[in-house]
Amino acid sequence: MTAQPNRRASGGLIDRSKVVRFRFDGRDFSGHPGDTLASALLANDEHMVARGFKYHRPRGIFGAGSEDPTALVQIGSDAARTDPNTRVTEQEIYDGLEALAQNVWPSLKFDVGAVNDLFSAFLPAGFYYKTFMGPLGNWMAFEPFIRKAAGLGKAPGAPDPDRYESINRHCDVLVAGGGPAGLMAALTAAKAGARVILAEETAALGGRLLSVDPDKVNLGDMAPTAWVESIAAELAGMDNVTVLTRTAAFGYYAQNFVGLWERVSDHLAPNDQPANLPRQRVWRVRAREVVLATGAVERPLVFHENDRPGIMLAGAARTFTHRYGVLPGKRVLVFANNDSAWEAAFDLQSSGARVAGIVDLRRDIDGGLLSTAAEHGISIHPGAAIVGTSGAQRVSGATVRRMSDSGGVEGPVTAIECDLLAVSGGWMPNIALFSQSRGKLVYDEDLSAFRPGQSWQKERSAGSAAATFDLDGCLKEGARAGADAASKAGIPAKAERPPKVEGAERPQGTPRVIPEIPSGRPRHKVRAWIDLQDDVTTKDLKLAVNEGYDSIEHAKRYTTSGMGTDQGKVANMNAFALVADALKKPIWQVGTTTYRQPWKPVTFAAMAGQHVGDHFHPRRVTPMHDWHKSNGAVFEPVGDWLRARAYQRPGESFEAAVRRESLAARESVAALDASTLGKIDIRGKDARTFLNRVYTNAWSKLAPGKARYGLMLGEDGMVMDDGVTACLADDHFHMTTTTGGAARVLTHLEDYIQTEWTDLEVYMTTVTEEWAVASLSGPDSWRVVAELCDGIDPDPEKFEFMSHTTATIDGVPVRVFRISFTGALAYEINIAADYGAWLWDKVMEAGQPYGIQPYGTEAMHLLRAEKGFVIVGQETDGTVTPADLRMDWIVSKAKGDFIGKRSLSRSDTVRTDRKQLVGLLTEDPTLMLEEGAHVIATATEPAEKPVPMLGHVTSSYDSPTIGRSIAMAMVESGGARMGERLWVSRKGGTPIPVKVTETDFLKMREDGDV
Amino acid sequence: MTDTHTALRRSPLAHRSTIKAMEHAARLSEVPFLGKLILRGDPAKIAKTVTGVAGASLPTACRATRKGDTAILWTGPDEFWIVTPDNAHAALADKLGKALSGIHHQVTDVSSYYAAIDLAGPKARGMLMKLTTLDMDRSAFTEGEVAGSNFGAAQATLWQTASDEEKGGPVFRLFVRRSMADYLWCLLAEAGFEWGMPRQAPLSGETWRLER
Repeated sequence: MTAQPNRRASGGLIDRSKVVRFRFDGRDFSGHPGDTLASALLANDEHMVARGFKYHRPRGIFGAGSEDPTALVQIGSDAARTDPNTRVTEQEIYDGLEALAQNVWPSLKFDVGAVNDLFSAFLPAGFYYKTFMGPLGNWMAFEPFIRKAAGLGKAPGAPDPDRYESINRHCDVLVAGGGPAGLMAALTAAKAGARVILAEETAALGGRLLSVDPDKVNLGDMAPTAWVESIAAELAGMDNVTVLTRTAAFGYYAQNFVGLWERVSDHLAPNDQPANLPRQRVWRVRAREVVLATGAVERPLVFHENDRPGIMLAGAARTFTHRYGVLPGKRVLVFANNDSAWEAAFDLQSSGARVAGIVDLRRDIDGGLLSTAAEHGISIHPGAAIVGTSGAQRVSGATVRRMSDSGGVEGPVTAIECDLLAVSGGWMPNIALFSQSRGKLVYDEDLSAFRPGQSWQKERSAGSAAATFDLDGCLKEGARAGADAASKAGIPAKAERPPKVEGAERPQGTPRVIPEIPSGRPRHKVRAWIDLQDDVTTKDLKLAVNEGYDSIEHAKRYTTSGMGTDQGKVANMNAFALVADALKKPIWQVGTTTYRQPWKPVTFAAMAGQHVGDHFHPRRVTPMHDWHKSNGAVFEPVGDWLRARAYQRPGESFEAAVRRESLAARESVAALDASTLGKIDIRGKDARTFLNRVYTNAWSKLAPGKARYGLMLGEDGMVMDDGVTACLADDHFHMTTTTGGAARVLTHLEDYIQTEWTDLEVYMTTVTEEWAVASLSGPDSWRVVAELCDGIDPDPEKFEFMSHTTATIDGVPVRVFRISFTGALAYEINIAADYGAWLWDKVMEAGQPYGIQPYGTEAMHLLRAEKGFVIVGQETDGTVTPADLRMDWIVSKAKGDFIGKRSLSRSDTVRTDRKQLVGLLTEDPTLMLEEGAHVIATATEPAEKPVPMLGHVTSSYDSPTIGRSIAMAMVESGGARMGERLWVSRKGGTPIPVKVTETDFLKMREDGDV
Repeated sequence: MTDTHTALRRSPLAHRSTIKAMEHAARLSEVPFLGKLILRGDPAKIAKTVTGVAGASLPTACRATRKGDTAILWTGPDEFWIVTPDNAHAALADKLGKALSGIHHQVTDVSSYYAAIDLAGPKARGMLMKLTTLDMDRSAFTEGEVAGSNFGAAQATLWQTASDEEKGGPVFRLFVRRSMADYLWCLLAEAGFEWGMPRQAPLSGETWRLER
């Protein structure tokens, strides 16, 4: 256990009275509650926390928040809970926290992969592309190594045991960012009575106010943290306000829909995590108005050897100093191009560090800054550049030279020792969310950066996100933005008066940006990093431009600059500037890459929320389900439904069960739970006209009490659904659809009624689950119906095929249909679903004397295939017309128009050589064809590939009734091939010879043809 | 129908019993065997007749009206739900059919089709927010409000039957397809877990056969 040598005596949001113990890279450390992993490691003087992606060079803590590009670690070693690519600047510590260095082997400090750095010349920009495009062997040879080396961290190896949730919220004003501008905006809108959500990415409200010296700055006579606390308390007291900390606004989508990611308990030890709360939440917020107070991101400087641990953004150094009470370096060299970095230097000096010098690219420095530097005794190097750095795993010094008028460097080289190199290239408004919202960016010449321009959605930016960098301005602009947002949301509001600011420091002024700071050293010996995470240097981007990737989007993808888990938060602007410089174009012409959601990586688990495991998806079951379950049913999914596929008796195989069930349905009686079929009640005086237009056949003459089978086509003339529709009264019909097509058909029909045929008086209402349905098939089925039902004579001689009637069972009303999907004598009993389970018991009881068997969907499929009935979705695939099914008889030529009619006379649909439905009988009756197998014209597969294919097998069964295998297939010109010998190819064997037949196998058997 | 018949019925959530969160924060229960009719028709043409038969007037958009035990819910510009006590719907449907003859309309009995779930208590809104994108703030969704939406992956109709001020309130009634009732029940319980509602595992334990 080490002490915390860099911990300051006081200050910061740290509870020094408690010690938190954690492990990093196999070593024990201590910190305090309030620390992030980064601040605790820095307190222990640990700067190096990772190795680079490509070259495995040492990587340190560069930022202090979500902008940090490289300080990524793996949290926890438990296979289920381990979390890769966690930013040490965001992960708060807790007792027992274990962090592992990633992308290192065997260890952080000694890593074999670091040899990549020696071969960096062989890993140029576009390495993958070049490998892909080179000889095929290259990729084959490199792939295993590339895959092994690719990616950061390790994915969990076991299912995630934690709970996650998503929650939907609406509000008048959403404020993204809880800094000075965001707080004033939220306060203003809240006081006006608006429903406000304030989302702050970090653990505490305050933003940059937490990073300034509390002894120097006052807001209305309060220290910054005290002022923040007072506002927080005021907001907490209002029930129209929701304040969320540890919550990042990660995505700005259409219609002011904003995603927030709350890390509810990631900062707590597993034992301290509230068991009733999810680990993380996604808040899906629909806001009337949005205030973007997302602050600014500090820009790195692009100089040679700028990638060592201990090189840190100047603003981050101040955040560690004041927010976390940690001095990240004792001897600090500051490299600047703007005034705010000078303030940082003064601040660090007064906080206990010794500033070894300020190097500024600018020659002309404000007199005030110069005199303050002199007061502090800080040596200054205006008009100079850092031209090199030293130190293996931590920066130990830098060399400085004067900038020449010609844009190079000149004069003597000065070496300066330091253990922290604080860099500042100026502040860039954080425009990520603004840009995601489709707002237009404006290039600000003074700022050398983009700022928000014209809004697209209902939002406004405030504070440094809007390039307002002085504290007073931020507070005022926040209040104005809050008032504007609330007013536009319909709640009149007046900007709250901000506190009087004292001791505020000077903002950055006009930074001097140099795309690549010269060093005067040989080009092949030095590199300047643009993107620290993806190991992209200025050389890579220049190479990309030289090779013709002069669009910034192409250059990004070619070099991987701005990709990865940080998406180039600090890197992008420097990449744009360098590419613009290489192309000799103004930067606004080069533009930016697209800012996409999410702002930072959000876990898949949080996105999935509670809709996982048990709650992943509805499992729809029928009222008879319990009976099926307890009677040996094995189930299959049909859409969202669970349907019994067969009922296996103890010791019985699936195949044997299907044979038994299908024989019962042919020879005695068997019952199918057909409750899942789609059902639509259709009513209105134009119902017949409507049916005539949606089905291919004629419905004008169907009398009440009768039913008819119909095919429904899409506008393309292709079969989309089928089913039986019964006429209940002249203006009242009961339509059935396939199980999977129920919702689609109703939508299709409502679409026509509501948009195309508004003159028709027809109403439709789904009744799918109002009715539970028992379908009885077999010669004895009528006897069971007779036994069960009162008020009906089901004798097939009297109760005609395709008719229906009402009856009762023990006084409970039912509808009985004589319809058949098996080709056998069959009846369907419909009953209100509340009675479904009871009906099934009654059916089984009444059928017992006749040996009734329940049958499942597998036997149902077999039975209908024996009769040659098609299943929409099995024989058809959306490219099949009625003629292709050789069901021309169902397409009325006499009646008027119907959906799909016109498409049936297109030159393509009238081709006679289309694939058509036929039966196939194998010459060897014991052989069963494989569904999906190809039908070919030759006894052996020709050597030349591809083999010409005539069609494919759509259904194939072993039929106990026919006494052999049967199959149906879609075959080119099939209708004209009756009796022809064809072959069906199979894997690992010679093609199977088959005879082309009609599809009604039952009839063929009756006729003695099979 | 007689009481003997009603004993033969099984409501969609008969296998569940009422569950509660801690400290009366929320309560989840099935309301079995309500009568439910879907009435379709042009409000301008049917309003008077419907009110004459059902008692309650036709509600305006997204609202419900009540008269005694009968409620009418607006579910679309030409679509209404009529909710009645057990077994009262059949006679009402007959009466409506007769009274509306000659006017284009449709009355459909969906009593068995939909399960009714009551969710009550001060945390009910918080639970619903986890499942639906509707604005469930008390200022936005009030007593007598009706909306159809998705709750997780289940489509349902939501109706606030009692106000937030009422004891044990607010009360929300959800009508959901009976085949999806168990899914929604379990998802609602999960949403209430934060406030101590016991978790509910969906019915399962089936044997699957997926291979072709």
